[in-house]
Amino acid sequence: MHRTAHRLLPLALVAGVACDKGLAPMPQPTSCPPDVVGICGTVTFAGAEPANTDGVFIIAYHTFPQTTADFYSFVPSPPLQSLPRPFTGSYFYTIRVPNGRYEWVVAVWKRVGLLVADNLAEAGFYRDKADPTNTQPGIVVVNGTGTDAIDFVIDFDNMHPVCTYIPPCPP
Amino acid sequence: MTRRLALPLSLLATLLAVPRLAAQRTAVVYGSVRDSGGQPLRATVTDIATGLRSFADNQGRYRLSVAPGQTVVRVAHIGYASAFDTLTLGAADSVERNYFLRPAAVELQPQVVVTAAKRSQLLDQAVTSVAVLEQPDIARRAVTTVDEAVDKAPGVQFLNGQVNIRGSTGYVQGLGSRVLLLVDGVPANQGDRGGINWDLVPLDRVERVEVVKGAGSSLYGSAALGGVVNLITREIPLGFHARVRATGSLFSNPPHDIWRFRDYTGAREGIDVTGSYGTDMFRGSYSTGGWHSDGYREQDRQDHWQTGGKAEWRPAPGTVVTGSGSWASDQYQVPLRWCVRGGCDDRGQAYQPFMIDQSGLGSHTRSDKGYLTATLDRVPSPRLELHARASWLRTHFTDFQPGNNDAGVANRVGAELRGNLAPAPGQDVTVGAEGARSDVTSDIFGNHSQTELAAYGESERGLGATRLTAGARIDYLAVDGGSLTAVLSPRVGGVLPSARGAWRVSIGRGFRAPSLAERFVSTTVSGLTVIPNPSLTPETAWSFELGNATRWSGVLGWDVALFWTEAYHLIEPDVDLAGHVIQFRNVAHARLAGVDLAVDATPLARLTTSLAYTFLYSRDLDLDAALAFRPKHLLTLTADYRWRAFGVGGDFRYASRFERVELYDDPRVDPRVDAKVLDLRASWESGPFAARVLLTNALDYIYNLVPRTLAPVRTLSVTLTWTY
Repeated sequence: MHRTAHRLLPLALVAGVACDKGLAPMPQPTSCPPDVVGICGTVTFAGAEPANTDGVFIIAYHTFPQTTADFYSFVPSPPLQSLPRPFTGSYFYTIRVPNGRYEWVVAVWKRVGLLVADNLAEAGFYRDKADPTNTQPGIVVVNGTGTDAIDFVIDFDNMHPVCTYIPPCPP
Repeated sequence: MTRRLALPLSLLATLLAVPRLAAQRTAVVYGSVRDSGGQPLRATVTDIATGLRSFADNQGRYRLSVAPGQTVVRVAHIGYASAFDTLTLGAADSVERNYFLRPAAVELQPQVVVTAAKRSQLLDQAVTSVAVLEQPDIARRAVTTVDEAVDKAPGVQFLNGQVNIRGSTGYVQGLGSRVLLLVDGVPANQGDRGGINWDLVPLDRVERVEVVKGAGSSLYGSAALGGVVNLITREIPLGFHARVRATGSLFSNPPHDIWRFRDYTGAREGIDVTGSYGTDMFRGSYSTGGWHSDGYREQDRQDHWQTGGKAEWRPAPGTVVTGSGSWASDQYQVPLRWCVRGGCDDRGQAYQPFMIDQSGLGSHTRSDKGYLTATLDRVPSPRLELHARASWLRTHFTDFQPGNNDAGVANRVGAELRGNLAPAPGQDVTVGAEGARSDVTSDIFGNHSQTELAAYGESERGLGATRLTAGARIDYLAVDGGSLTAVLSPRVGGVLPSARGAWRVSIGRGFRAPSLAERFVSTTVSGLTVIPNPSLTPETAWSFELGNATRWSGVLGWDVALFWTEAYHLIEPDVDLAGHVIQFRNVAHARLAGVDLAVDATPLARLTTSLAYTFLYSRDLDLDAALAFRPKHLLTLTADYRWRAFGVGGDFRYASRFERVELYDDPRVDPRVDAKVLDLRASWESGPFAARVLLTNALDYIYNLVPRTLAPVRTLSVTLTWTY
């Protein structure tokens, strides 16, 4: 019997190793998770969500886009995941992006329909805290960890179409 | 052209020749099979020369018709060492032979497989790795579907119904399987998406599963890029037999109250019935059944109905005409990705793994599928076997989604002629020709067809103790009647018996033709237009394997293989944001290499154990990143203890956390973990009755393999079987 128990020991060890329970409840985070390389922060929603909203996405650009092609050169790579509804109150977001310097961290609102410029608008972006006019984008540097406190406002009542940045706008 | 058709036509002519009934008589071997304690065994008794088999009943009695002359029969039962018996019988002889088998962890005698070389051969003479699951092993596990049965095979992992052999496929949402499914040797991948319906064949009809690892296109053509899974259905025994199997299961509720999503315990219940009757000349079987499941998560109800049958006519010794078919219908809710904050009643959680996003409420699918197959197998002489088959596979799906329904009907019609010859002692030759036509009619795939024509040949011969194999297959593919694309798939290999077991080596080329869905899909996903790409070309791979199978003693053996696959032009979705489109393209160059190890041991007389471990190095060489959805480590431990009519056992499966996933790589809502799943089982058998209890995921380990898709939770199942 002792011999039998000895031979069954590996199975018991396996069962022991497996005694953690896997996934566990995870309250909504309030700071960058330790294993994230990217950008984290809190977005605060303002204004009324338009009726034809498909989603709101947070993306980052290494350099401020100058052309239409630049506009589609962002991270993280698609397919993107919208911020969850409801678009009210505030929400702690996380995006995984590679190490580097980012000149524009922006929230993009998308209308229901195809992913074309006419269906997109800038809904808010991280601003340079040193800028007294509070209009210039803030620079974010990611260096091997999560860069936290990149907070900004998403204002549905003050959105700007893509042509605001890459003219011309249709008449 | 004339010479090209000469061989298939001559094969056909020989096959259709009227058997000389009057000139041939049969002999009969009958008796019983028992274990060393005298308990009857439902063993398999096989005529090695013809492959014809008989199954012992619950009293251990069998009856096998064989051709006059010298015959070698093999008596086999899982958990016991096989017995071989050489008999010399005259026409109309009737000989009683009683056999007693002794316990063994795994076959001490060579095992016969039929898939690796498209003919019967001893397992240790196959040039590639083959994993075999026998019916008693499947029954002992008390699983209810084919994919559950295959899932624990060494080196095999399922991701949401998509099979991976040594990391071949990854996860592409059911599209374009890089593993070929065969049902009794007949290809059964879908005609439109190239995926696999694992519920096509009721598990109760499956006698044995053979899993061939590595490229198998030199004999099987498209889709056999990463391996082949062959479901071999039960032989029909003589006399009247029946079997009733009833199963009831209970799903564990979420382990944390904050994850609760319903106020009752989910259940699954099912029943299936099989009846068969066989004489020396005619045999038939019919089975029907169904099951209902509440599912283990929100919006996960499923209803399944199935029916199938098989008929055999044996007009003469060595000639068998078989017709078989199956039909299955599923209506199931679609549990879309689990919900994240705001998508449901999130209760302050970052994600709710048992709940779905409310935007997907009401999504459901109806899926009907069926196949018909006719085969003719003839052994006109000990040196020649001839096989012909025709098959029709039909699938029909309708996806009901809020505001967007999709539907499609697909057919795959195929035929094959094959000859297995032994032109000289120690030499075996397999030659054949195969054709198939797939078509689809769908709102998202359009109306299209694909034709495949192929010819193949492989020769194996002894060179001293070594057996060398060389062969190739050429496939011609045409889409919508357009120009032909040719793909050549050669393979060479060898097996060398030695004092340290049998060494095997092989290198072969595999390919997968793009599915009609990948070529012609036209839909919208996440605001991007998915556009067709009719110019897709087949993806290809070179597979190399060096393996060794050794029995170190009567109680310990192993099979180890080093494998290396270099894959080219893999078909993947390419997202073009500037153009606002997604299109399937030939893009990736990938490498999959590693070690596959299977060890079996019998440390105690009644205790059998096994270990299967796969180390996988996978790399997308274009992205210089790990291939998505491939675990680096895959470990399966199994132990079973038997005492008289009772048995207990368990499996433990560990799969390391994927280094990379696609689609939703967000740790905030999808914190991936290793998979650690322990299954426990107990059984009792007495005469015609058997009861099995299965506790899957006994530790109630909560995990996911596919992003935001909860894997099965702890489930208690009881299966009662009555066999006549």
